[in-house]
Amino acid sequence: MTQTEDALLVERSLGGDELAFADLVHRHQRLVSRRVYRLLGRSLDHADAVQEVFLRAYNSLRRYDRNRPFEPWISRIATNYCIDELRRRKSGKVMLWTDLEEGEQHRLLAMSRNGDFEPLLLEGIEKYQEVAMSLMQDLRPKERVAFVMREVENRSYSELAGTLGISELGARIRVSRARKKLQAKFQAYLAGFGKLER
Amino acid sequence: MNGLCKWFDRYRDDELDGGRRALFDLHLKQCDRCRSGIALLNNLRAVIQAGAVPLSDSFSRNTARIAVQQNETWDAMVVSWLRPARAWLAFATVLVSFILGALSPFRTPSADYGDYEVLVTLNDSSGMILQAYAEEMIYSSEHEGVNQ
Repeated sequence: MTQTEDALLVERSLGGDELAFADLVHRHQRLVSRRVYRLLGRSLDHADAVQEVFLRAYNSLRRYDRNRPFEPWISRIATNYCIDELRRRKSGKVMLWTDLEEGEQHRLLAMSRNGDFEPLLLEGIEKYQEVAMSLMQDLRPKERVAFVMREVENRSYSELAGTLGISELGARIRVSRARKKLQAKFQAYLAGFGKLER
Repeated sequence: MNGLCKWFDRYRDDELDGGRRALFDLHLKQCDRCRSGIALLNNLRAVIQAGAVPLSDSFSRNTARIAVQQNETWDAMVVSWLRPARAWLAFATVLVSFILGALSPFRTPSADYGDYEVLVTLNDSSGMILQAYAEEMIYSSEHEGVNQ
């Protein structure tokens, strides 16, 4: 039913119906916003980035196959936009372990030793999110996409392969590399923390 | 690190069978590296999942308006010229102009007989000058010999 509704909205949008496209945006803006946030992090121009994804989608609407679901199509456009952005940005502000206050360092240290972490119960969640994004900064764009889709969104490897335009084995390799890099970086953070403590 | 660490990704992806999964669970109790790795990934997932940036209520309307306007401008500027009828008309106009220009009786030739004749004349005259100069030299040398 959803797929049919999306197809109808696409049909009307192609005819120049502004309200139909607004409906289409409204239906998928949460998905796109999340994907953009998870890949690019929190930024002042977040809304512009999400808007850019939908503008790209609108310009490519004629190429959309209405027999297929709209969600994977729009999420692929969002992912490709984020990969372009990550390649363009290359370097950004890097959050260091020492940027955290001592209490937050202790809590984050405990976080790596306890799997039952409930972030929603913690105060200052944004600070933890910055650290998480900082950890991911060393990942290559496609590794970052692979990690977010697999670990955060729990997508299958075949879906991941389809989005990235690589084989399923390639997708597995990228996820595995991302996990190892994140662990290594976190260990490096902890090593730095240990020195500070002495 | 021991041999079971290599199962980390398969454990994480829930692809180990029951026996191996139980073995890896035991391994996690002994291996700090794998245990902190699992905890880190769980916590990263939780932290990132909790994050969201709200969009304004008018976001979808604004985006749709910009998309339609942008498309109209783009269409008027470029895409309309790529449409077959207009593109063929433009091409035909250029082609006819070129043919008419090439066949026009009022066209000024870049090099004609006039220029060629001037070149021949110049060539001839310079030849005559050289010949006159040579005759003058022979005449003067003969006369110098007579004078001496």
